[in-house]
Amino acid sequence: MKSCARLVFCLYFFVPFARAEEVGEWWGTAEREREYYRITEIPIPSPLVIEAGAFATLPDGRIAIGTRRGDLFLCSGIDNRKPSPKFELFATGLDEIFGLAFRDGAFYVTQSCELTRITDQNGDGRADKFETVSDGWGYANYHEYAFGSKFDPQGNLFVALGLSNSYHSRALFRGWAMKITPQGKTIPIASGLRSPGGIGHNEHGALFYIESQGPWNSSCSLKFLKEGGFMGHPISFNWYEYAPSMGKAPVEPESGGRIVTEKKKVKELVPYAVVFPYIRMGRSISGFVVNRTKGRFGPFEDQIFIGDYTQSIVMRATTEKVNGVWQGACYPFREGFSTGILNLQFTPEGNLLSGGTNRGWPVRGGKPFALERMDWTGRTPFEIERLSITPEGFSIKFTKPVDADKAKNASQYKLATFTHIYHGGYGGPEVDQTTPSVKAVKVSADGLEARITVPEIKPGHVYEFDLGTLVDAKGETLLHRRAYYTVNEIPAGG
Amino acid sequence: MKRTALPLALAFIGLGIDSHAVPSIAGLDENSSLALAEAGEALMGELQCANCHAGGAEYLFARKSGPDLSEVGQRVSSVFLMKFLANPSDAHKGTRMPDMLQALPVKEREGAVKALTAFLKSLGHEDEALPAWEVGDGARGKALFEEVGCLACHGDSLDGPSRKPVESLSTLAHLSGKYSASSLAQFLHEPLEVRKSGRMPDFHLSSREAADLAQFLVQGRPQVAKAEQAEPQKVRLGKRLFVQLNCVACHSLKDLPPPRPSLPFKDLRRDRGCLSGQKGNFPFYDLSSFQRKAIGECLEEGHSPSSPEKSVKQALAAFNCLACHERGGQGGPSPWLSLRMKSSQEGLGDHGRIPPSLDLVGAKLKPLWMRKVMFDGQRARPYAHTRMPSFGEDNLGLLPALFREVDEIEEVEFPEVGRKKRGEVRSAGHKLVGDKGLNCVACHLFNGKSAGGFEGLDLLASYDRIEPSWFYRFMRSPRSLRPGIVMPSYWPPGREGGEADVNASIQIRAIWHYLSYGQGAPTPSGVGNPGTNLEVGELARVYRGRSRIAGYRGISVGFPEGIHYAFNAETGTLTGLWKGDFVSVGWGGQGAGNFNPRSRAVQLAQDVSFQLSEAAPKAWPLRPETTKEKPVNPNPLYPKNLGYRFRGYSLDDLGIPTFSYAFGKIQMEDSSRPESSGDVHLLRRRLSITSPYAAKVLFRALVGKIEAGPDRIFATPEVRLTIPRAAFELRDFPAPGEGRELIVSLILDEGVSEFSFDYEILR
Repeated sequence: MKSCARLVFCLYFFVPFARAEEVGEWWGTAEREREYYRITEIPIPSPLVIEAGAFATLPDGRIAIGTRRGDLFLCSGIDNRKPSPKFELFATGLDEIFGLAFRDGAFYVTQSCELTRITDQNGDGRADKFETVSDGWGYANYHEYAFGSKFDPQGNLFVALGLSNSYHSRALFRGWAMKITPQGKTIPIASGLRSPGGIGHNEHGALFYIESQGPWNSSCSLKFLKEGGFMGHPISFNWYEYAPSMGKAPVEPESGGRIVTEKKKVKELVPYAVVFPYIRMGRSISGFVVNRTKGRFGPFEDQIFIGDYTQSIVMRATTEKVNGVWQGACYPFREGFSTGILNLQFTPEGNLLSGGTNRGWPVRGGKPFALERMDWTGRTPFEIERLSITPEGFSIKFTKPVDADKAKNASQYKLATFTHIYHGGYGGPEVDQTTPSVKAVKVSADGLEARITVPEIKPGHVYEFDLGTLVDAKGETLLHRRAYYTVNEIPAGG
Repeated sequence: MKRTALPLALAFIGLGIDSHAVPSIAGLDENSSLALAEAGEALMGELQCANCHAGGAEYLFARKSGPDLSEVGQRVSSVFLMKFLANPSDAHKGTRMPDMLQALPVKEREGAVKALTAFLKSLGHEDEALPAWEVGDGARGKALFEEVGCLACHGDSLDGPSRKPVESLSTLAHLSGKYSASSLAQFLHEPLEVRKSGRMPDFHLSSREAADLAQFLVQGRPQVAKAEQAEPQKVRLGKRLFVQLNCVACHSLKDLPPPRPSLPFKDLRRDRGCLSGQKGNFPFYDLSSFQRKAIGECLEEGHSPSSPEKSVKQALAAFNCLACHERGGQGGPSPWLSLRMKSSQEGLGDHGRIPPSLDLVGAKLKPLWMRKVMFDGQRARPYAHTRMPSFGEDNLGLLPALFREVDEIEEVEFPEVGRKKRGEVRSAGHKLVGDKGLNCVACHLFNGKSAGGFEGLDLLASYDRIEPSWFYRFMRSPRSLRPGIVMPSYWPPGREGGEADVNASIQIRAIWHYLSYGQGAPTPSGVGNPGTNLEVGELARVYRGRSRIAGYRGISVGFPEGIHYAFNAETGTLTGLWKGDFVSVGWGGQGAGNFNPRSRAVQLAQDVSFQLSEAAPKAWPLRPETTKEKPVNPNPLYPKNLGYRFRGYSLDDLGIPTFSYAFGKIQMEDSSRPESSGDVHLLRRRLSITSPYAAKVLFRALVGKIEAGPDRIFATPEVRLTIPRAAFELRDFPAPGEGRELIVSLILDEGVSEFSFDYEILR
């Protein structure tokens, strides 16, 4: 026994810090971040347990919270500077809520088993009518989660259905996305999902969902949910016969290739729009929301904010459509939340509410459940505001003028690229790495944009930017030095 | 009578020989750990000397402002304002506000007080009194006052002379004349909004607690505080005086000119002006002899060079941290205060109730955690009733970094575990923490869960809180770092490099590695993960979730009468019945809320139970089966192809659900509830069926070893079912001899037809 213990000791290899690789460390920026974005815990009075899974804002300003435990709370006073909000239990006894929308006095709740319209008919403040809007999918394994969207302008709702046990498709339409029309018709619209973590519209109104790392997905990603599309995991092809509007099942992709080559063979295959490099940018990204706060949340209007369950962090993302294909970038934003984040919602005052649990899977944050509100302090951090692609390279926008002396120098832009193997194995390495050198830089007169030229842009690659040496007018470095752009397409030269 | 005499009496006891009401600055008195000049420097910061006298050295924690007066009219009564302006230290013993009017002749002085009061009362929104605050409970407020930490600075000044006050007392007796319960509650709820310098910290009171505490402090004799509009002339005069007297130096207000600087720091002398102890044309500070001496020393010696050590000491003194925390042999609660610090985990000893020592805190806590504790209300020891208040990041934001600079312990290397070895090391740590190892969980929570013993510091928070080197040294010898702690030494001291030493280092590192997985760390042995029992209250309770008894789209319905049933919404079938307690639900781990009846249940068939007669095949259509070998549902549309659609349910005033579903154009309303007659307790199921045409529906009411009795009664060994007057067929199922199925023919008229079925549990 003793000798065995000694063996363990000898097999350590020595580096100075103890790290928890499997969960992933934070970026180490929390102390600086809190100057710009403060996290306030929303007290949850005992004995309530609120494992938030979905949020909706009501016209009267209350926030509805659907929970993993199947409760639906209505919460008022969440925006108070020092919140001690009131939680009213509106409905209970539902089955894991991961989707919540509100329209015309009714909640549309996505539970594991169905999409339900919930109303209070007698006006006593408690739900008393639960109408099944759609149960057009199979449910035969506890891991078959269902995530619901908000309404689109046509009044449709969308539901993203995880695989059976996250590997198989044993019940109807597991691994598919469904559209539920205002008339209550359930229409399968896409196959090939693996383990969605959220579904909604991006900043341009296109339908997106969160995909998790695993088979056929080497990292978590934001994907455009294209009607008629195949989202990458072929295990769910067995249900095409139940989806006549989808036509025939696609050609099966070949495991071990690259998504850029496979998408030429598999015409329905939709490539990921924004890759979140594993561990560096979350490990299980979750619900997302678009910032429409009219500046009240700071300089990132019309951008996507997205949580991560494992690392208890919030990130940003931006998307753009190039040659008809969606792609974009993700950026670190705020770390140090107390629990695994399952969903986010902007409050009426323009703060960002997050909530979730830490049970079941590894989570960095130490609380079994929590609601936390992130407020902008009014100070603008020096950040990469967004990355976008140009015919010759990339445009980098900043939240504050960059010091042009440094920013003019091409050697300050450290770029690295990689792509993933597209395969049926779990997760995957980053491969085909390159380190392109920037040929030229043009900094705008106001210092808010740098346009860089690179010798070659590689479709299918994720471009990692490290701008750690750039400073603003006061000599401050970027709050987050890195950002990641996923290239599917290159715009034509102008 | 007693109450009015009390503050003065206490002031005498608390402050020793000084007979006047000197500014009370708790941590900066004769007992201060600072050198005299350093204390003087801090005192000048506390008294905000720099607001008028420029050029002093940098005291990192100087108060930059007095209370924010922009809404003072709403907050403070005019009676108090008048008294206070006329003689600040008389109206509020120990105030740091100097007497600004002492040089004026009595007549003028009265006029100035009135004008200033009129001006101050005009500040705030006249028409909107502060939003009404709930009315607190004084008894609860008293308990809070004694528990959360108020006593550390405010002694027991409100609670009779029999209890000995703490050494440096600041009285609160003026509060009832100053605030209304409501305006005080709002102040206590967010003190840093008004007193931005953080000397009155934020105790993270909920709005309710603030109301309770305020109610206690005003003792039922509150003033009405409300902004008032006096004669505009008087307000204008007051405003002019406010500027003339340079009040703006400490109380900046919108639309007022900036303060005028007074003599620069280098020209100040210990026996002149504010420090002379004389009255004259300057603010009058009724300083104690110590305060005067310390400030004089500082003026003469000049500032000592700033150093992190000095800044840490000054901060701990100025913010009175040492009233609760010990550091370097200084401070810590007085014996009187210590006795009043309580814990809900008494078994954890003094370390479970007294705020932790700050010795080496900069080497112990991770900086981010320290910030969360100091500024965000994060609590590692929720069982200790004394709360760590927040002094405001703007005021003490520098302190975590200073602690880090000052405090050092020898670094212990924590080698990273190679990928292949991680599982093994983690599982070693897992074993050690659990009840089959060192049983850390006997005294510590793990992710909020207890092993049934004490509920000490949550082990899972260790990684976020603590620096690994501290963790290592503390584990090796808890008492060497925290004398008197109940935490035992698990590893005997051994020769360095000897076998015991090596084993200890392997084990401690394994525990750290295990804890570093955060919540990903598997729950240690001994910590339970029990199902949650759902109780039924006065109303019926509906809970949805997958269940062995009702399938994945299962719905359980519990009744206060203690009889419960389960409904499979996928097939529209009542699938189980039981008595006693309702259900337990799996909400631990990945548990998605599956439910289980808490007593043995009668399991009924789960297949679709209705069919339109004209479409019915000879054999009843059974739900598709999946097996381990054939796990894919071969007929996923089974219920829908039989015409079944689940429509949902509604709840009546008793919370009892009525399920709605359809077969083709036929709508079914299905509701069950307990009925009792004599000793018989049964569940009565009512079907209300709406059909657009006359039709016949077959209902497969029961399956199993059915015996037919008289009066339309059918029984299996577990359940007795009474059916309405209707044709029925009792036929073999699935094969002759093995069991039977009861098929009841329900004849529907056009419109609504009603049927009733009684289920009685026989066990």
